[in-house]
Amino acid sequence: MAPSPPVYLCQGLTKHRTGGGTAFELLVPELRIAPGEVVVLQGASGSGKSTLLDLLALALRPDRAGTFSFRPEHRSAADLWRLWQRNDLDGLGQLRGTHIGYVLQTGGLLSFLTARENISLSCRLLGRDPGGLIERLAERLNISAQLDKRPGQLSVGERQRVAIARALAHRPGVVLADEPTASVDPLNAARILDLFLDLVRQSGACAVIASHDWRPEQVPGVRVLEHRIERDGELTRSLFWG
Amino acid sequence: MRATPEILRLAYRDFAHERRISLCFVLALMAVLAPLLILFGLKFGLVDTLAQRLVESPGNREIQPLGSRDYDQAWFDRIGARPDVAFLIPNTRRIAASLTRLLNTANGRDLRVVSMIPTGTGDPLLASGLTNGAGPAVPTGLTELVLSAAAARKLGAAPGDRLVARVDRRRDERDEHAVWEVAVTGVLPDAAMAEEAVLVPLPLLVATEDYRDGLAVPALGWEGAPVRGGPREFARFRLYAVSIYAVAGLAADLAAEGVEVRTQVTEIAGMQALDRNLSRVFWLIAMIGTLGFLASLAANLLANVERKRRELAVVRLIGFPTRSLILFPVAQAVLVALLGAAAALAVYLPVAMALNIWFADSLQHDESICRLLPTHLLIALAATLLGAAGSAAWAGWRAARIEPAEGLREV
Repeated sequence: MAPSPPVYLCQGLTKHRTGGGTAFELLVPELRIAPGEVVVLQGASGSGKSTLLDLLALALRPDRAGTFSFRPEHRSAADLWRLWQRNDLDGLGQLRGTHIGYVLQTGGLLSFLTARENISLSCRLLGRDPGGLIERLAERLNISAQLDKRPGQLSVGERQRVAIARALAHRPGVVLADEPTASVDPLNAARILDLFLDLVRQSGACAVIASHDWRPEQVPGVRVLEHRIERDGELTRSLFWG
Repeated sequence: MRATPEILRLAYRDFAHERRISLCFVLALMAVLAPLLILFGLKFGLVDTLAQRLVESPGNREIQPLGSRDYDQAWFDRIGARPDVAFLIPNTRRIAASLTRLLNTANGRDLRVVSMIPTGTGDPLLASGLTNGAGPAVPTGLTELVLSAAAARKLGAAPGDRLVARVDRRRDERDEHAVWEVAVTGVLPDAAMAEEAVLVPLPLLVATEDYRDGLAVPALGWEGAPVRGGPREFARFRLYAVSIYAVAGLAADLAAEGVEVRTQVTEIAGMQALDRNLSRVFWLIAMIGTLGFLASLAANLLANVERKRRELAVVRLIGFPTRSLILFPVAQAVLVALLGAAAALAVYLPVAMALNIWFADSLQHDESICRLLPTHLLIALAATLLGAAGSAAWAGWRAARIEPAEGLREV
């Protein structure tokens, strides 16, 4: 059986970051992510995991790309590099809003909406009726009682779970998560991560998860990307590939 | 596309959630707009009213003849037809134009040597101080007259009273006099003239002139020489231009015909200079105030968009298009503008009312110290909305050009 075309296909993806006197470069020589696959980015803080996730989330402009294509299921491939070159922010936004769910490290919730309204925001933009999915997600994530509260009234862990629900509510084909359990104590972190993986698998989406302390080598179906850090004079280069 | 109704809902929810800050924005707008409204109200009410009074005051519009000539009916017809002439009526020689005595039989008070001024329909003195023309009725015939305010006070007379008038003459070395009863059809307001005088119909004035000249006036039963036939000629006239701006031109045209006149041109020029300078001062203050208002509005809204960078980045991340990111701050700016303008109006109205009450004694009927027409208020509202929406749109557009990741990670 021929393998289905990859959701993400990157070659020679590059992003420079300068800050605090240091020059940093993220380089992805080659990356393929298949539909339904779960991929993990491992590495210490500052190793460029967030940068790579932002690039995959169509939320950050790459400096260079040989190939950078995005092919969610039931859709033709989109040449992301060309979209960035044309500065088509609306086109990228539309792809992102429809096909990607992004769990940010700091939650990224709107403080003036309730948890329920935050979770349903993507659905409302797409004009889709979540059809009870929000309640089901809330139950599994144990935040049913918090749905009508505002983020300011929730604990950090509760906010993170609301963020997870928001990333899944509009049934995207791609789920990205940047340290989804970093702000949660280790005991709950493991539980939430398991829950998250479960939900992702249930939805059939492919996922890219960045985590600096998760060692999922034993978990079946989860692939860890190759990673190396080089020093090139003044420049620190971080490579991811797989 | 669901984006627009959704983003409007988000904008309103954010505005309501930050009630206290939103209130500060509204109050800041009100604090700058309300004084501006009062300033413009004073310009339209007080300054323009004063200017209008200066411009329309009859005394300033009068053109008086110097010396005596013979003006015939043709001359009166021609000059009276000019568009820059508001009122023209013949007048007799100065010596003839007075009543020897005017007596109020009811209380015995009298006036001696009372000046007579010929009047007719459209006489500015009859309408002075009143904007809807409901002044004393024009006296007609030979037995009606209008008293000036001073004359009425001296005589203790009011409209409807009957007085006895008397003219004296010397004919064939005999002293003669004629008396007849006259009715007071009205009293002029104080503002019209300060002197004690009476306004009489032209036929009455002509009759007294004839009597003084020794002629008969059959209509009143006065004996004398028969009246010469043929068209009358008059020695002087009463002339008013339509406005003070027309005085100079009219006087020049008359001088070109050989008619020497006296006008208030110098005083008028002085008043016009004053009016012009007052206007300049006003517009200078208004411009500075308006610029300051727009600048503070823009500054507040730009700062607000900066504050909302993270929220806008999240909205962009969710997938909202560029136009939504512009609409979000614009919708909030429009809310601030509407509420702020309403608050400014709520401050302006009682202040304007108070000003008009305090100054009521100095004002005539229908005048205001502080006044704005609905058109003016609509213009102010439109300018506020445009300024608010414009600066918010520009700030929103700038925010929309940022990549979502940049907006999120700056915190």
